[in-house]
Amino acid sequence: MLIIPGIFKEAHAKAAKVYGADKTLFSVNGTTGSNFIVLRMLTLEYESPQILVTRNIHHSILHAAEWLGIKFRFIKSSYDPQFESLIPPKPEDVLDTLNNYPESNAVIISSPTYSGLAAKLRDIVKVVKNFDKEIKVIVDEAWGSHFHFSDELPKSAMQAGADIAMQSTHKQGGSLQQTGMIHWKEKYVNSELMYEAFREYATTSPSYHLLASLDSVRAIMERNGKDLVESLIKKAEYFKDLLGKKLIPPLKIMDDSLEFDLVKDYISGYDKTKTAIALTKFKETGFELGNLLAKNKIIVEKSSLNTILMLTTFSLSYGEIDKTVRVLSSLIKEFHKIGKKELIQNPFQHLETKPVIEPHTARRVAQTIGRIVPLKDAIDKIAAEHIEIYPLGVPVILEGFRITENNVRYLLNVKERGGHISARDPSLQTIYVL
Amino acid sequence: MNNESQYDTPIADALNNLGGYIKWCTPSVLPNQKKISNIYKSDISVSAGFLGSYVDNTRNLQRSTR
Repeated sequence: MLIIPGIFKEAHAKAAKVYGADKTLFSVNGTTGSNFIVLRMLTLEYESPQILVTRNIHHSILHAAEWLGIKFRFIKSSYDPQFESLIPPKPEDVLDTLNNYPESNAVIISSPTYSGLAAKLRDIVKVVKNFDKEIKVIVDEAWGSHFHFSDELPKSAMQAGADIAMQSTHKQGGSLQQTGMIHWKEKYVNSELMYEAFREYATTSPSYHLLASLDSVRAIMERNGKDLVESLIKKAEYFKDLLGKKLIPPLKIMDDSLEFDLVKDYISGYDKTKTAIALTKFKETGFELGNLLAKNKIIVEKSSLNTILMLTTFSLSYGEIDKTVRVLSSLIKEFHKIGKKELIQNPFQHLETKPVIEPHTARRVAQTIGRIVPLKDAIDKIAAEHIEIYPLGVPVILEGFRITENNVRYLLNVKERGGHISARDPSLQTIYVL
Repeated sequence: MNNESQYDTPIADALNNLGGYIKWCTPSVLPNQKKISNIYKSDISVSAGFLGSYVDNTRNLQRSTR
């Protein structure tokens, strides 16, 4: 049969050019799949790799590390309890961690965060490359595929000089659900190893329709990306202005200047297409507000204990924004104002930056010396399983780490108030420990 | 048996009922991207080798290990 290796290779090459990379590959398994491919590439290059990661990394990175026997160590991360948001590390925090673990092969930063906070990537790249230019800077940029197209947004990972970036183009980038891209610069990345990892992981039955969507979005963004992304920002600003006129105070918006002062030393900017709303002055939770909005046929990106997160999307109309504000306004009027709401301090914090026992061995060891205990009795014990809230995709309790009181309090609070728990025992009655 | 509505299809039914929702969530799909006219007719596998291969993006590794 006549083989033309052309259309996919050509589409990848065009995307690399548009997104500022040397090379690009398309993913039909989201950034979850891309993360597995990139970590597999590290194991093809290094005998026993070690990576430094931010605490907000997606579970797919942790799972890939476990599958592949990669050691990971955490970079110090702060937390904003009002917006339930992990904050990107400062460059000096990255340097501190490098000094503690100089044998590391890569630094993986999740930026922007789910809440929209963008790390100081340019400075982090400088810090890492000054320390050792061979250490790769890898960015889980799942939420930042639109950054490349507007100066009103933070710089993209490729613009900031990162070596590899994994993007969920389906999130804010315009393509159909499940699609993403891996971009890289070839200076410190061996393309042949990346292609080999890709071949090992990628499905041999990809949906060409999904690939066509990525290719089509690339073509549109190449020509009109700036206007399209800035139209998203304008819609978000319109929404926030309306909220301000009708609802604030006491509704809290993350990028409102007063709230933003708390995190600005840590970040290079904010994803202005997002609106994170905190209900700190109300008795009600974000879960309750999210459910009420859903009953009014409005779907928000994420509800949490104290927050809801909303994205302005390409298809969202100004009429829909007006309707949303009307509904929000009438719902909030029925809410109960309170003086002070108790917020749980960092539920993602651990006593150690490295696991007590490596996660990839914790589960195996648990087969012989593990036991199941009530979650409330598990504080200070070593977890033999992950427990997370979804959406977010960041485990609260991590296999191989000691369980803290804040881990447990946060999970039980979320469960009690209707959040979705992803775990072996989603009722949170029990946990597997060592 | 040709009437597709006679089958019990909860996922397809739910998706067909999403039209009235206001979505402040992913995916943020660009409405004007190039559409494929009939996805059920144009769905195709790697058997259509003349389209090339998605996973064998290049032959670099093969060349380097030859």
